[in-house]
Amino acid sequence: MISNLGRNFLLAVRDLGSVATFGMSSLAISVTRDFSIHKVSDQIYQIGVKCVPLIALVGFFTGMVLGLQGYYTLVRFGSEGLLGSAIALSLVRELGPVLTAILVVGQAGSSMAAEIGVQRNSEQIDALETMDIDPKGFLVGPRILAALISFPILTTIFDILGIYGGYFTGVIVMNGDGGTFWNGVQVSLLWGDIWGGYVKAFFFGGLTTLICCFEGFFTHLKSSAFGARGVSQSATNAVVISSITILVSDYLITSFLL
Amino acid sequence: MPLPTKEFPIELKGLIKTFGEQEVLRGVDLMVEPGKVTTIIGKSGTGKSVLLKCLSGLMHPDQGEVIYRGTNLTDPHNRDYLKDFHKGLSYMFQHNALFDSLTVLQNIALPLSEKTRLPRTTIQQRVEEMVDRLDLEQSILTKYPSQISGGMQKRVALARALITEPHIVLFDEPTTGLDPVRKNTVYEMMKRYQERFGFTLLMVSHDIPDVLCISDFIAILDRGKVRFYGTPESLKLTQPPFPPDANGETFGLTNPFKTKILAYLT
Repeated sequence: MISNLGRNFLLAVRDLGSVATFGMSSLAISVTRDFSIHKVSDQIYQIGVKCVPLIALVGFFTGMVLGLQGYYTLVRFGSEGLLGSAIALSLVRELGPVLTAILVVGQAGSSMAAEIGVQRNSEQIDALETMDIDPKGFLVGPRILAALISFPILTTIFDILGIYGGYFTGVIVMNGDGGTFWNGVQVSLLWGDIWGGYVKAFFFGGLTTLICCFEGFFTHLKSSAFGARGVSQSATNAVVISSITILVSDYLITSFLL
Repeated sequence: MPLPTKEFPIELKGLIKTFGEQEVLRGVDLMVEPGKVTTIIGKSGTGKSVLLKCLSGLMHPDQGEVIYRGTNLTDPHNRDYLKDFHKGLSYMFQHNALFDSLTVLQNIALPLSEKTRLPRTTIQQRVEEMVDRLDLEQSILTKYPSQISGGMQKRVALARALITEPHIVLFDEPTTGLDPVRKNTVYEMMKRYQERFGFTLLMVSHDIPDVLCISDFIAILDRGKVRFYGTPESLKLTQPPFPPDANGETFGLTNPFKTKILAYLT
């Protein structure tokens, strides 16, 4: 049992090293030799623009739920005036970056892993190599760069709509005071909170996109599943591993920021 | 090293490639003549595609040499030479490997748009010229690979392979999945363009006897080794042409295979 544990630990360390090397070399190629603004903007459209409706919808409803729950909790202590502060802080510091990242992984990350996996299985990646085009620079680098740009913007959209969602339930539906709500938002939110949220969004974007691309890129090396099943497993692994990574790294980043 | 030219042969010496415990290539020796059509034939699973992949750099042989202009390209110290060698080489995949999310125009233009600094108008012009030369209609340029027929996809893949004006083109079973009429059309097309452009053509196939019509040289790969190499005509002079092995097979090739070759030659 101990030897199994040791073997698995070593494999995990090896995989971590492979992912890190894969990500760094992809980024290095993309920002230096093979940089293409066209490819990055195309990926910003795929990762960023296409996810806006989902982020907006979930952000607004998350804010609405926070507003409702927060109001009923705070009113017990006669502190409903703190609703704006509570919603703004919880969204900007935690819920905004984390939920945005999980949603984008679900929508864009899984399709990213599947798309690259299919390209691997249909020899499109081999074709790039024979054309002397680095597949990492062509497929992976632009996606990581696009994610680094898109995630903070999507998080901002989530945060703003979440706060408006909280305003809707806390003020309009529950007849709270609008002035107190916005004053709470303005007073409680510090630049450090906003900055911290962006740091998280930036890290989540880079990490999750890297994991999704890695899963798709090496889909042919999976010993447990081949072909279409291998691609489907890559997409599933991409979402599961990315979601776990988001939550674990969220704790680590938060402990550094506080 | 200068880019590959039509004058120099590619020499494979003792190539060995193993996957786990399975030795696929067991010391392949082969000379690919420049400006000629060489076809590697053999049963499925004899390592034909692996041999092409070792030559194209997609796989690294465990042992052996790929010699071009006196340089061993498998030597890690000659990585720059290998890179230059690949600049003059194109590979046509069995299932075309076209990018299904890119239009036909973007597919054909890919090697130029990614690896050169040519203006977009020049690239478009070269693509249109290539499409004309391959008897494709200009209207397909805006379509996606899935919107055109299998035969057209083959020609689009060929256009992409030829757009960089390579000196060596590798074809991995180019007629897979095509009907007999289309197969002959593809072979006829390959021969016509090989003669027109003058590139070295190395093909893997098991379309016997169709490939014999267009080949200058035939190599029979069996159980990881080249068992026969020569012109299609010289096959007839090899007496006895294919002594059977213990299973009654000839170089691992079944009797119908041998019959087909002999029927073609006599």
